[in-house]
Amino acid sequence: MSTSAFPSTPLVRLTGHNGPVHALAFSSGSGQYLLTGSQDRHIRLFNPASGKLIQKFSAHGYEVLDLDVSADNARFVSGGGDKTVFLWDVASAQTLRRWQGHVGRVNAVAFGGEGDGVCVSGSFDGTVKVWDGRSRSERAIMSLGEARDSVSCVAVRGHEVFAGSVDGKVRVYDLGSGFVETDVLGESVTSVCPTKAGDAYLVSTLDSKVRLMDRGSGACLQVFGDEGFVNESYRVRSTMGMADAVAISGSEDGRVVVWDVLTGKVKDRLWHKRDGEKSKAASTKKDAVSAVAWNQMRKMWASAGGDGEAVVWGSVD
Amino acid sequence: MSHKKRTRATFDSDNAQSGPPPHAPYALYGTPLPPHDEHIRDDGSFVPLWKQEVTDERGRKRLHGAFTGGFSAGYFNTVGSKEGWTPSTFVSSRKERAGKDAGKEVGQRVEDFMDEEDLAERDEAQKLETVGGFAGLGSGSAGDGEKGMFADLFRSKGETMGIKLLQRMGWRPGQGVGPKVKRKAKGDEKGEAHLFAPENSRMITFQRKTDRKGLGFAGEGKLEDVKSSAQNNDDDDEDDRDARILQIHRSKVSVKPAKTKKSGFGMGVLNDNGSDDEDPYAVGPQINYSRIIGGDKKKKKGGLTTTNAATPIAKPTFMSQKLTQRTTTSAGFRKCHDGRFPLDGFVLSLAPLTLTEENKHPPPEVPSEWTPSRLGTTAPAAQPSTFQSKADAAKTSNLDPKSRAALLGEQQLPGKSIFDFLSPATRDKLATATGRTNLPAAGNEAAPMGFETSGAERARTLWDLVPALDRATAIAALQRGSTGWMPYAEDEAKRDRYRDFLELRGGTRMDLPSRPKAFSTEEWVKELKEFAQAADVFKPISSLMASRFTTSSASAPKLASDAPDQPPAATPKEEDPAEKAAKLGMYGPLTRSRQPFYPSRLLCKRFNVKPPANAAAGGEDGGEGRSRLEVVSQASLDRMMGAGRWQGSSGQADGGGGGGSGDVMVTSPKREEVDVERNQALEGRRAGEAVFRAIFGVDDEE
Repeated sequence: MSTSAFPSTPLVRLTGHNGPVHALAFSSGSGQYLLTGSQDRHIRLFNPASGKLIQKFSAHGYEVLDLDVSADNARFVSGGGDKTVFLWDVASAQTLRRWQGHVGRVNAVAFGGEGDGVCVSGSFDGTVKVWDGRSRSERAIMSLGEARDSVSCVAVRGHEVFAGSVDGKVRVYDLGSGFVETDVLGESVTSVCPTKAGDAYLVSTLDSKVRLMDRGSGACLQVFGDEGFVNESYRVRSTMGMADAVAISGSEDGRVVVWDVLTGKVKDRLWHKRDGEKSKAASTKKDAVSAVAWNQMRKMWASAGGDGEAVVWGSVD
Repeated sequence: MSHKKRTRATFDSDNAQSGPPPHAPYALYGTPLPPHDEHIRDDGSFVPLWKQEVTDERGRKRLHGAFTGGFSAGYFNTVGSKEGWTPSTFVSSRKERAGKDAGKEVGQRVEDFMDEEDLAERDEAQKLETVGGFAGLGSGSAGDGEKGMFADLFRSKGETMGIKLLQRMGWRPGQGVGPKVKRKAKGDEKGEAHLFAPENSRMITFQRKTDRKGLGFAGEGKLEDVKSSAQNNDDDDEDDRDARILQIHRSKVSVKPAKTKKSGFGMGVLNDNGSDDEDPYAVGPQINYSRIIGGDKKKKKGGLTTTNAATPIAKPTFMSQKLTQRTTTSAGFRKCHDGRFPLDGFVLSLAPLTLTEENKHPPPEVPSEWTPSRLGTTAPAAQPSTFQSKADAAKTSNLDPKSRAALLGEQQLPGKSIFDFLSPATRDKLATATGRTNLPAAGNEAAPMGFETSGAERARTLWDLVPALDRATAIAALQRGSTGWMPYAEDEAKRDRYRDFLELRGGTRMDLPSRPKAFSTEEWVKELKEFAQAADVFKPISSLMASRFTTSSASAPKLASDAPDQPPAATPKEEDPAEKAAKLGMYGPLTRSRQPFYPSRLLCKRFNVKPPANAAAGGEDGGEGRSRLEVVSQASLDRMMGAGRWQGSSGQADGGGGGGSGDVMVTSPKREEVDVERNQALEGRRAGEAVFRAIFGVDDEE
């Protein structure tokens, strides 16, 4: 029974940021470390087990909006308000590359390609740019400009690049076939997360709904919603967990809602906000839980909120 | 600056040590000073900063007064120093003037006062020039002539090996080469014959011809030249020719063109050299017939010694009769006035040469009653001239080719004229067009055998008259007609013909549109053209363009008695079905669309994926350049451009259809089998209007 129970115990609350935490990423593999990127332009590396801050990465001139860690845990990529994509070396805490090319803030970054050789970035200017980590080129390999509005989230699975945009569409660029498949969602997309198998993807939209779409046909497999679950104004992201059995999403009222994928029912509602159950005040933007990240290896997950804290959840048993 | 940079070796050896050196155990970071050793004298390499003086490699002080706070007028920071502001390189020349030891290094040189920039500038100004001796032959300088025969020998500095060898063998410069010649010494008439070295052979030079006169032309002053050369031959002082010894072999000597008189006949004012003896108006060759052998040296250069002009008239003096005695010789021959004899074979005449007034050859006498035959009569011409020009004659003739041929007696050609085949109407048209009334009559014959146009051909030419119209346009116009409004509402027959024309062009009909009986071919063609234009105009616009326009209630062009048009439905946005479906939650084929996006090859390589067939040829440039700063994506722009060309030439209206069908074509495999090339709905039997409206919903399909 414990294997199917969702880890809902907050293990540690990681503080230190001076602004809302916009980005969360577990390290690859064992997920021993957690990276957080915040409005205060810093990126912090924590060890969730001990709760200690290990390293602070400071180079951004503006807020950090997204993070992704490479498969070998030696590098990670970050993007934010300074329109630049930073490729960091973890050990030296220095940037290896600084890719400039976007003309708007970088909303989402992701590693991709063989050996994580490329970084994909989606920006407010509506383009998805692919940067080459192997060569010394300063220019993007390719710039995909099909989106008509800001690109809010990108994800890479194999040879497919997912890009969700505020224009209400999710575009999946299939590099093998050379075609891009556009799914019209109707509402602005804030998050896109493909399943491990790559046959479906989870998409959050600004109508307070999270949907599981079929990759092959574009049909909607499941719709997740909740009465308390709000996603109307801010970029609230969702992810899949427990080997794609659950869908986890933050909410603008300070909560994290967990749904079961097969049934579509709410599995859990957890408060990320400190004393969330007790407070009766209206939710402000400081309450919004903008990012959630799942760590499969250790059955842990983290949520990052506008209050500048990241909460690492796990199960105690 | 004070601490010299350590070599790599010392650095490595220092680094290899662990920890600070023993003489400075506190120095954990950085390099400590070298260990203090009383035996080593301090070389001043560790002076404090304020004591360090900046000098360049030549010992001149750098960092002029502005750095040290004093104005030194360029005297290199010597202000306040022991030297004062005397230049360091100053050497007093009061005792020893410069020049005595000019080669000595000591003393003031220009280079002392020049720094690197000045030196560089000076080096820059130096040019490499060929040494005069190496400048080559024929440099055009006057020196070529002066050197003369020695020019070829001493062309380069120093003696060549050949010359050295010759000298070893007894040759001396200036001699010729060859067996010795037995002759007398030059200028020595009576001497004995000795063996002399042969004459040096002259190098054959070729005088470059720079003028365009003929070969061998020697100029207008040629005669002058001959004279002067004849005069001056013995006179070598004025000549800058070769040495005397060469004159004997004059044939081998190439005569340099002597100074030719640049002037032509006579002399100009500018050539006046003040010699009054020259008479510029002397006519005739200035030949000096008198030659003085060994005469007086004072020659007049270029002067005239004889003139043919009348000598200046002397004052008449009385000459006694003894003149004849004086002027005649004993033999009775006369002498010239100055006592000289005339030339051999000439005798002075006795009678003066005068012109007489008499006419030795008077004209013949004219008989008194002779009248010239050329004078015309004064009476006016009685009859008018009957002269007629050829043109006038031709105009007045009334012969035609046939009668002329008969007059000339020619045989008639067996051919027919074109007028035999023309109809009278055509013939009249031709006559009025050309203005000639004498065209032969029209024989309304049929074409000869084999030249008749068949019925099929006649029809084909009719086909050519039918105006072209795009299939898509025709279909669209038809559609609009089916759902909305068709033009020519007042004339049903015309409307039917219009519809037939559209169907023909749309592909549903194969035969010609019918021609009403009242119409001639031309009028029928005109009507068809009108139909084509109407179809172009009344074709419905695509949705993308339509979305930019809203129709008013009276938008449709009305004919006089046209029925009120149905208000056209609001044209929907392009994505409306997908958006609507998404809003309804009907995610699926309606919300899914697929387009190519041309990944670059590098991108595919990075993803370890075989590049698809439509991979972009260019790399980042294609990707970057194409879609940078795009508000509207390229694909939709293309669609709009294609659709927006509805008003363009009819030949290119397929853009809209093509763009739209592109989408349809790609997604068609996903849907049921829809063949884009054939549209069953149009090509088959036309269903009723209700069916159309049900399927398409609105006017347009795109």
